[in-house]
Amino acid sequence: MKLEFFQTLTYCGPDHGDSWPAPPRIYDSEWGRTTLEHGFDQCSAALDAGFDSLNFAEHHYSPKQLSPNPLIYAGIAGRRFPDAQIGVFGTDLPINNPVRIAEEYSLLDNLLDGRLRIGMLRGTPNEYLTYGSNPWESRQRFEEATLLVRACFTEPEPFGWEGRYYRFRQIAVWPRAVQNPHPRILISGNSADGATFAGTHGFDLGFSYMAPDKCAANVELYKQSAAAAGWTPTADNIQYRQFMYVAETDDAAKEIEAQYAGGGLLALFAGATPDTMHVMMQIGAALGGVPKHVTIDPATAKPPLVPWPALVGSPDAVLERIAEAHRGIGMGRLEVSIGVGVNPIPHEAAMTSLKLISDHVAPVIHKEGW
Amino acid sequence: MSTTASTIGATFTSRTVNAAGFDVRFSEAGDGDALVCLPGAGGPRQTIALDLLAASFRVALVELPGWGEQRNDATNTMDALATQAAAAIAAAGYETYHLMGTSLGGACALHLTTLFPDRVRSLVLEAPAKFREASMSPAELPPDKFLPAFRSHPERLPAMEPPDPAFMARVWPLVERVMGAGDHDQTFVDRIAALGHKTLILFGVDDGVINPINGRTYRRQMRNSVLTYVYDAAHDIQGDRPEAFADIVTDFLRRGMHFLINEDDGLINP
Repeated sequence: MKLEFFQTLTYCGPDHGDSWPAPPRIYDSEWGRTTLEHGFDQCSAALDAGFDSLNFAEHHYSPKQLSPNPLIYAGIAGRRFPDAQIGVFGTDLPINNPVRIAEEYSLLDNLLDGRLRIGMLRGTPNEYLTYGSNPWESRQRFEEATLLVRACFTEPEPFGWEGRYYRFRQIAVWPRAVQNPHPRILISGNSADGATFAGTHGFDLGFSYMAPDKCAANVELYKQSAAAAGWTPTADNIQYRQFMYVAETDDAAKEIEAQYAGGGLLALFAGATPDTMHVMMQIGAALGGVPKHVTIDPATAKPPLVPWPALVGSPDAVLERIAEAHRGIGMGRLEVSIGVGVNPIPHEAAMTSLKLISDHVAPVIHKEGW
Repeated sequence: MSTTASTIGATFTSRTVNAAGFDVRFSEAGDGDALVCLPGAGGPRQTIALDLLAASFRVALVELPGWGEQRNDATNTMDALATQAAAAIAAAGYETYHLMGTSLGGACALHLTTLFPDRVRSLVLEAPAKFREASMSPAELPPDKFLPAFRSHPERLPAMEPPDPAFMARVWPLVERVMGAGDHDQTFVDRIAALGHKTLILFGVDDGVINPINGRTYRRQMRNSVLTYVYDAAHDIQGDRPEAFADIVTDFLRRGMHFLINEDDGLINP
């Protein structure tokens, strides 16, 4: 199994606000620049520790990830670490212009000499407020835009696109990507629709934070739809993303978890008031397929995702959890961000954890049979 | 029918209610949820924006006590003016309502909401004049700066008239008493910080009266608020961009904070 490093670029300053969007006034550029520099230090340590790829993602208006356009940092990291594989998992496709996305990824693949893999995602509920995108159209826009991006990569002649949601009368992407026909594309498998779409169109499949038993059902859908399309995915096509924090002992790891895990994944898009929290829940429901005319009842609404607990503990404990995840998902790629959740842990703690991963976790993961 | 100066406000009818010792004039039009509007220091003015809002709401434009025929020499604070306004609104039969305040009316609307929070369903503040950092009093504006401070588009209807000296002489002392010096008032900041009302704060980017930077103070203190800058508009947003003003206010009042979510259909063809 491959081990991949997800650099979230979580702002290391003390004030994160308590809701999304976080007010820009609480940003301190010294902390911000330190965050970006620490990010490179951690990338370097991750490569030294045996990680196989440096990965980045798109998030907006938040200290949780200083990465509104992950391609910028990915490009710089890729040039700074010329032997590293680079992954961007990914772009929040329905809120962006898909042709522009294809152009930027093509350029990035040239800058990285063809070391790029990319992910097309739908994003968390808050992202639909970022540029004012209609969440009820998310699924349809996502699927159309993904196939449009692929067409942008592969079409040798100028072409037009008369879609349901996108209309372009002339497209001709320069530069073309280095990889032929294009960089590998990953789709989120957290929904059954996503897993089926990925299998049908020959894309990789990625899971984020979901419990392995829930992932397993969608892996099966992925394989079935791939088979129907005439191809067979391998473990290398399947990726699983989690938080990981390894300490010398379980107790030491739990201490960090107790200190920094507050808020859980929902801290990414917590509303400031019941009204704005309801807005997030309504968008989450829309992304899940609930029609526009159905108003969500906050008292009974289900959270969009019940996450599997982060991989936190001693090396042995973490390896045991990874084995459990592998049994359920059968992934060939484990992608981890160093931490216990969306809040930042101290840089020194992250570096210490990376060293422990290097010594005790990465060698086991890389062994034959995983 | 095209809009002319004479058709603006043509659907509104007037009535007077007596409250707090004043005859208070209400101009009303439309059906639906009540939207009570508190005007600026220049007094009530019919606008295209109010006509558009009256297509969706029961709009009630209030002439605040002292802005009509009767002098108001007794009211000295914004709390007192807001209390009188609340009494008049109640006397007019409005128990609960969306409340919209313009400039001085925005300050009054804020005071009213802190004093009678259960009456106000949601709040719209158009260039509110409670906080006035780096701002200009209209009385201090030189004649050549007066119109541009209020309007980026003086050609739009209704035309912005210069203030009537007799009206100013009668009303301005009251304005100065209730507005105070505009110094930072932490007690009042604490009062608005305690409000949970859905609030839309609007400033024209070219506002030459109340500096739009003051919008930040409301947004920072009022957790359930949204601050929006209106492009190509000065202090009189309703005058400069009436369609845009009515559009965002209607959407906000209809959907509350869910107006943040874009629900426009992007389907080109099935």
